Amino acid sequence: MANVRERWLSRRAQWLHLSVLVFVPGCAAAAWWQINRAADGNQLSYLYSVLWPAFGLLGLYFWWMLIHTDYDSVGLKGMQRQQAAAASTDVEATEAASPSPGVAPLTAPIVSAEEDPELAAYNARLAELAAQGPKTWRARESVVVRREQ
Amino acid sequence: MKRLTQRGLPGALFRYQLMANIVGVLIIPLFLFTALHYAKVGSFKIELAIFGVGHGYLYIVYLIAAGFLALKARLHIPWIILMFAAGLVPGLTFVVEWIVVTRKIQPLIAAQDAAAAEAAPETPETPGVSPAAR
Repeated sequence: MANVRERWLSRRAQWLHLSVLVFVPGCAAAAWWQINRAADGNQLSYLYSVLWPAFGLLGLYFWWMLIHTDYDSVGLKGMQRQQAAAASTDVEATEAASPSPGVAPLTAPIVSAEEDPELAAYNARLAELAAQGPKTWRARESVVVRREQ
Repeated sequence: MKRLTQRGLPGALFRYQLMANIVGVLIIPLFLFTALHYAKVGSFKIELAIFGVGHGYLYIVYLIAAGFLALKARLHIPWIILMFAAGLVPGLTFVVEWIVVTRKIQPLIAAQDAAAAEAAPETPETPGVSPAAR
């Protein structure tokens, strides 16, 4: 739950909310102004009355994307942070402290001989889901974005 | 054409640079004709319509390209606002594009290349691809 609060109520998120609350109604007002001008016979305003809602939708889209972008995992600062963490501690401690989904090691499920195979499969699936990290609708990014040749 | 549709940071960088140059060029005649219009030199109705609507719609494409580059490179909000606003001021587009690319994107690409080389040193470089052809 703390994760959700950090995402929506951090200082950065508050600035995003404020800017989207100014920008989107501003775009709506400008669109309404251009629609009225188009109704009065200004032919150029037909094009602008499509343009302003598009600006507003773009603002909403980037607001959502910026809220849901994890700035600590990827990018220059994220890489520097992870390199500093790797330098200060050993590898195992780093992976325990910052489990990024791209580099998370696959934990092999421990299957004992006397265990029910169905239960073992269920536990293996649970371990797999836990290794994947929280559910997300976006494509997972690794820290190092490989360049396509 | 290949760079235009490339995935990842290099493709996003190329699309942003392309749109920044297009929008930056288009806004100069738009401001020129607006100034001439308000200086009562002439009406310039057709020129204003062409450059105004052209810049307006290409500015949307510019915003998309800049926004995706900012998301890919994890640029912070002041940089994003600067990039978005630069498309509205004549001349500023080129300056901001240069600053963002040299200060932010190129160090990130260099760091990612170094990290990738560290992660997989045995991977050979693909022959025939120059480092400039990103």
